[in-house]
Amino acid sequence: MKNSLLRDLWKLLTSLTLTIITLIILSLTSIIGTLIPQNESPQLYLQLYSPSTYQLIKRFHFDDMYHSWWFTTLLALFTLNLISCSINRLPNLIRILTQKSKGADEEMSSLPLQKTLRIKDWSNHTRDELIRIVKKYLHTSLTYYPSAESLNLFAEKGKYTRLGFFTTHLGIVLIIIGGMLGNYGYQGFMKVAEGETSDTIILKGSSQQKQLDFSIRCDEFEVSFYQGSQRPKDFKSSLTIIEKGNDVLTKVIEVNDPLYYRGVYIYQSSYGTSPDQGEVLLGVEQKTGEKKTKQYKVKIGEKVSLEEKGYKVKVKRFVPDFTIGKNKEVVSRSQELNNPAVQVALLKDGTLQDEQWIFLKFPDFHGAKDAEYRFTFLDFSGKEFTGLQLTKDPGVWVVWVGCILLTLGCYFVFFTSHRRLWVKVEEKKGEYLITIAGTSNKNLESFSQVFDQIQHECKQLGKTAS
Amino acid sequence: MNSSTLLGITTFVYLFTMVLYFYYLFFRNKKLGRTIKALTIVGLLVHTAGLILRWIESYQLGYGHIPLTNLYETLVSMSWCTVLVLLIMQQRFKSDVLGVFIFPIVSIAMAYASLSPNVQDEIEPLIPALQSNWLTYHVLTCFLAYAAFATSFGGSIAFLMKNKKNGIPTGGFLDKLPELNLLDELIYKANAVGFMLLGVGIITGAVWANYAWGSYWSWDPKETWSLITWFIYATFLHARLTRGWRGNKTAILSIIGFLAVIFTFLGVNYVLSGLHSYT
Repeated sequence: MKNSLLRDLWKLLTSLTLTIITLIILSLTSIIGTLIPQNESPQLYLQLYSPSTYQLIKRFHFDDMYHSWWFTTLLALFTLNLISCSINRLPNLIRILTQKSKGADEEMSSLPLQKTLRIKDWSNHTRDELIRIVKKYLHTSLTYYPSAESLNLFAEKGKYTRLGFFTTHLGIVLIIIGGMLGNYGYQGFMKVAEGETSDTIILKGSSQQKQLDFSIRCDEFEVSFYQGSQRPKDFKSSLTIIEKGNDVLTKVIEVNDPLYYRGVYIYQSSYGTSPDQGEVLLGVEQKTGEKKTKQYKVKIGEKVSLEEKGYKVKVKRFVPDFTIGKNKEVVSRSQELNNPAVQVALLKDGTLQDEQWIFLKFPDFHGAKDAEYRFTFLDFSGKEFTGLQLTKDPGVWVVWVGCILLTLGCYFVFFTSHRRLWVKVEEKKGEYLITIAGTSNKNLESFSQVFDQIQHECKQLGKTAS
Repeated sequence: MNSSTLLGITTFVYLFTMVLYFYYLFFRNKKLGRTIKALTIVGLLVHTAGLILRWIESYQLGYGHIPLTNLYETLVSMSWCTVLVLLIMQQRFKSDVLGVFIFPIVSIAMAYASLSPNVQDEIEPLIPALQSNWLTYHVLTCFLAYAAFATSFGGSIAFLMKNKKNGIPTGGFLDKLPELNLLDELIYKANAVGFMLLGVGIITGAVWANYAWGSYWSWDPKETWSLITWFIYATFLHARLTRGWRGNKTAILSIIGFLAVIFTFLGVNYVLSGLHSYT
């Protein structure tokens, strides 16, 4: 009873029907995750969907479906099926790979490719010629049992290409194992201003902080643009790794050229200007009286006194890339200096007179028309910071090995075959009969062309001999 | 003469080839078969020249990148791969009518690229993430895979049409199609080649992503859809190799596979968003 249950389970696990069904279910469910945004904030989902739909999404983990328990289970089932099928085919495969051909007679009659030729003479010379012809096409393995009047020969090629399916499946299993090992690594983000040092990253997805066992200093950051456009051509950071107070490694990294240090890859990911330590150059013009612009340098968040007594101007806020958000509030679209803007407030004896946004790139735009002062945003100097992504993935090499095996395996499965050929020569009534028979485990059509070529050459053998 | 002119000429040559193909199907004319083949080769040569010229032009503009980086360029390059693979397959399977199922796809893709206001044909500078040799390996292997799948799609349609009449001569254009078993073989071969190339395309994409962004797989919609496509063809191959499925069932499977290819190539960019949204 117990045995038959196990046997049924094994039968199920090794069935191709299960493979096809899991492949179809994996494909169909994968679509869900391409339609619903993944790993976004609850706010975003509530903007896109009704609260009840959002609850449903949460319940089935559709907001992070590729890491959900049910998708992982499906993948596990797929892997189990893959491993079982491969193991199931292994004994038969080993038998084919290890068995020795017992010569022509036993195996020849049932083969798909067969041809019998007659020649008049048979000598050591013709025998050697025949072996040479066969060797030309199937050279890897050749066993022959010559006697004076007869020949019994077996040749084959590409025996081990039968391992192709196994290699492919092993590759896929390694990729999955490598992916699982990746969970023991981490991925995080770090901002470092020029000249500064940092050793903490914010982990992806969780916004938790993680302390590294080394720190990174950004010596220099540089960005270049395509001529006459705002599109960045290249950005690079010169980084130094510091461990226990010593500089251990310095490298200039850029996009597509990361730094590797002790299992951690450090990528150039983004850049920006830090608003915290920036300084704004303000132009201030009094509307009444003499029209003369005075310039003031003001730190963000600080005040400066104007010439007229009691008046002060405060730089309240700075955004590098001004835009209006969904709820009509001012937000920064990015951390790059695409549309820098500051909010300035005019104070008289400590009370607010006027408040407006002014823009570096649009000096003629003014929010307030009838204020006593006109402010212009002339320049901004802030510390540029480099955005670094740090990744530690102990499984990545396993994945690459898996990828190579997968590709090699596919090549063996689709483009190679195990070809076998038997040749028997025997004397009959003063003539010599050459019987050639062959088979191929795949792509018999193309082997039959080779087979025709071989028998054609053997025919020539008879002609030259007679 | 600039690349747009050459590619425009290519579009017209392909459209004309398509018309000739339809004509050829319904009116037997042996000479026409040769004319079509010659025209296809001429089209492909002009197409190649256009792509090379565009590549040179990008250097003259100071950007210097292979023409595989925006929708216009991908449509044009994808069509190039498809015509090339078609020519090889027609040669191998000794058929000169398979193109009738492929040229409408190629012509529409080329015409859409050249004429649609939605497709910008300017040469644009590359954002830093795309400045990598992996771009070439990744995109080219994927496109060759798509081209192989397009050929198998053509073969599958041909198979279904011919099989409806049980392969009995009808005196019509169906007789010009290769024999059913040969079509079946073509569908299998093209899918096997496509499957392996798509696998390599996904892998080179993963290597590149790991190098540029620090993660080889992020379930981005395009990645996911390419995996779905790969699963569909994996199903096809197992059904055929292990289960011995032949005929209508496998032909239908490979048509479904090609629909997934089209969605992976175009649909994802229009309907969904993600890492690949700049192409």
